[in-house]
Amino acid sequence: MEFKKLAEILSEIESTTKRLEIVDLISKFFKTVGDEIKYTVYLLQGKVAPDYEGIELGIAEKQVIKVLSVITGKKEDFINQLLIKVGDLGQIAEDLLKEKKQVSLFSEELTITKVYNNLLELANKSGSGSQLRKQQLLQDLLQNADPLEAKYIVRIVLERLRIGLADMTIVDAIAIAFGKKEDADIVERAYNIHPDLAEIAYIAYTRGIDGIKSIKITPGIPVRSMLAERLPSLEEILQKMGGVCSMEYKYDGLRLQAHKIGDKIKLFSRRLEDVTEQFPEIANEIREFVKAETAILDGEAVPYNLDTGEMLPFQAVSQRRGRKYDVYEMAERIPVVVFFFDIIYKNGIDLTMRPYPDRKVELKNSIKEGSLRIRLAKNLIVSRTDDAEKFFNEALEAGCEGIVAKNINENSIYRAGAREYLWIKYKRDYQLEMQDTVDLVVVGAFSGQGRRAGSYGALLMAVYSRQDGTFKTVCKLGSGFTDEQLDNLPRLFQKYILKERDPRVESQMIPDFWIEPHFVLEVKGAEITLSPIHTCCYGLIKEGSGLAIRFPRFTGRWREDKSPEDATTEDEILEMYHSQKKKIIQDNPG
Amino acid sequence: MVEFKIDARSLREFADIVVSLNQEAKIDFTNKGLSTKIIDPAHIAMVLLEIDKDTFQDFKVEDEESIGIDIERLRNAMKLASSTDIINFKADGKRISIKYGNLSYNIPIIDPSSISTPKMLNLEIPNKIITDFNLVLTGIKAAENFADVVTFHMKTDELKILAKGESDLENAELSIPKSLAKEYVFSEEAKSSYSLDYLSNFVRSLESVTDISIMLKTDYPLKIEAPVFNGKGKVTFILAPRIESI
Repeated sequence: MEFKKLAEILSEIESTTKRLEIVDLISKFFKTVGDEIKYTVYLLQGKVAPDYEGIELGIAEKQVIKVLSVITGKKEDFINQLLIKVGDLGQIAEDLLKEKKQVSLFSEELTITKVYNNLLELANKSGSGSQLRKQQLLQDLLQNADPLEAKYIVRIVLERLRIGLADMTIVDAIAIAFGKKEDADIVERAYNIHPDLAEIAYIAYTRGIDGIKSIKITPGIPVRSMLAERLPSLEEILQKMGGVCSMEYKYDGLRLQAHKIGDKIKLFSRRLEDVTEQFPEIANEIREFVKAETAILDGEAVPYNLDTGEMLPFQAVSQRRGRKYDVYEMAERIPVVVFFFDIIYKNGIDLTMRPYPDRKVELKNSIKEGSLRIRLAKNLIVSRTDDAEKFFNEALEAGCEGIVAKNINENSIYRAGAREYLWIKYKRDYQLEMQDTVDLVVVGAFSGQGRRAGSYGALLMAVYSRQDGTFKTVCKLGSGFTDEQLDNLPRLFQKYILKERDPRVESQMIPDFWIEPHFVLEVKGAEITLSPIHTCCYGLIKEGSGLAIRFPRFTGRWREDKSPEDATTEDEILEMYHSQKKKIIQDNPG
Repeated sequence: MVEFKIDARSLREFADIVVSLNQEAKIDFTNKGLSTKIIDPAHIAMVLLEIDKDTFQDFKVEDEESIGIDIERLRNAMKLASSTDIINFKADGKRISIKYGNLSYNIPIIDPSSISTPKMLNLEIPNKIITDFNLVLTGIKAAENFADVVTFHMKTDELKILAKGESDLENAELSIPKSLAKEYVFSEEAKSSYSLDYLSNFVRSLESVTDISIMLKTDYPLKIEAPVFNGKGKVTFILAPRIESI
């Protein structure tokens, strides 16, 4: 199929904010692309492979400018100037190609396969001479591209597609294209245990929805992590759990999923990135101490002082993420211990449908004693509030951020990718009004004045709505930043500035700059109040009102480990609002 | 193995023609001579060059062979040669050796499969003029002063080479009447514009040319042919048009 058709679809998606329209558009398109469906899905997502494969296109803006210069005959300086003004090289490519008068001697129509293959080859090139080859591959595409095609090729190659297409929208579109709307649950289940939508779409195309049902957990391919809901008191948690549950320390570190395939070890972050190379010492201990031929374990990597047995602040471990060099030196300087709390798969058997207590036994039996760096998360079966309280305080004292209560009944399966009440977290500070922190997404920024002139005065922050895949504003955040952090913000955000509101963002406030949802910041507030302007929970409590966080303050912690979709959800804010209200009533009876 | 001798002036002209479009070339050798096809990175212009073995002295080719050459390096190796020096060229396995006077250089051979060569274009161009090369060169040099684009306009009785500056008041025009042409084949009026950069680089690389043939069709590639190396070689240049509203 011609790439031109896909470019038109991308353009239509970009110009609408209506999710149903997008689902309709994509599902119809999926039916027409035949066996190019796999490449189509990757390109719609702006990538050439699933995230966990860690394949990056790795071409710099500078190189794209060079190629555009060759093709359009415009000087690199001129294009650089445009970039400062326009900020989007894709748009610039489109504009320049519209003006292009020079014909080339050969041209061929771009197909989806041709574009995908060139981009994949470009991504796989490394080493000496690779930069030149990357440019040639890009040039080969842009030479034959019409202006609209060029816009999206350039954006994809720079890994900045910016059309605001959520994975769940693609899930729905696959269901409708190759089955029916109700099959979305089946597609989502497949996505949760095999997060490669292109592969899933291809299976749906070749073998129908039944084919998707046969997708199984595969060691080496990460499973989307199961997440915990939250409740405001240990008492309510126990009640929700039916009077008894297993309570576990909630370690404060990085969620880590470990895969053992014979001697080969793979470690994945919560965002499904392959972080194996950054934790070589953990990989070694898993190889040595996990008693299984194949296994998938779920745990939390915590910075740890091996000499004193103390957990260290979370921030330390983030220094080890994304690191390509000095990994061994960092392993020495910032030792990490992984506390495993679940096992999803062992020796060819998918354990996700087994109840939690069974999995816990399986986990215990799978780890040999004597490992320094891999341990079991501490847990206790609790049925009384005072025991829960005691265990919780013990967890805090040990350096954890709280506890996670886990359902232990027959139905306590591992629900990949789900946030449900099978697991409930309870963190420190719930006792006070909104002393708990929330993780909010930056969606906009306001220009600063006075001391903050030239930087930002405040950021527009949002929560994530899981129901409709949107980000809804909940506060303006201006406190808690150091001067240095403030100075760095414009540089940090530069690449994410949008000309218009991201279609996934719902906001009544208009900031000076729209920012693509990417950055997640930990924020502490005083209380949750009704707000006439913020869109979080809009109309849910009171007509014409949403919820806002009052006196928000940045804690200094960048949640780089969380994607915007992992931020605090609208439902959680609603729950926090209700529990806060209950508390006010308790404290002021009558 | 490929081996020959040639005067520095001719080898330099060969290198200049190639380098006007691309730094690297894949050159095909047979026992009849050599040929190469070059295209620029943006696929706007193409050069085909064929040279008969009689241009060379002691031309030896064991088997038909293709060699990849970094032409810029070849030009550097010849920098110190005077135009009448005889250059000994030898390509053997992985390297090329260049010798003249008491100097000798070695440069690496590039894997010819890594150099992209253009497909052949099947062009049908009805109009053709053969005329004095220097006349055409003058027209192009005149345009270079103020324009990026040059327009060729062929009528029943003359070929015009036109260039326009930024304002309408600024322009240059060279007329080659039919009477000055050695051959004039006219079948339809044709007018087409081309990038002056490409055209200048090409015509300025020609040293040994006396007559030139120009083939023209409206909004269609321009084709120029000329005998080189005393008629023992032939160069063909093809340039894609610019679509201008003039």
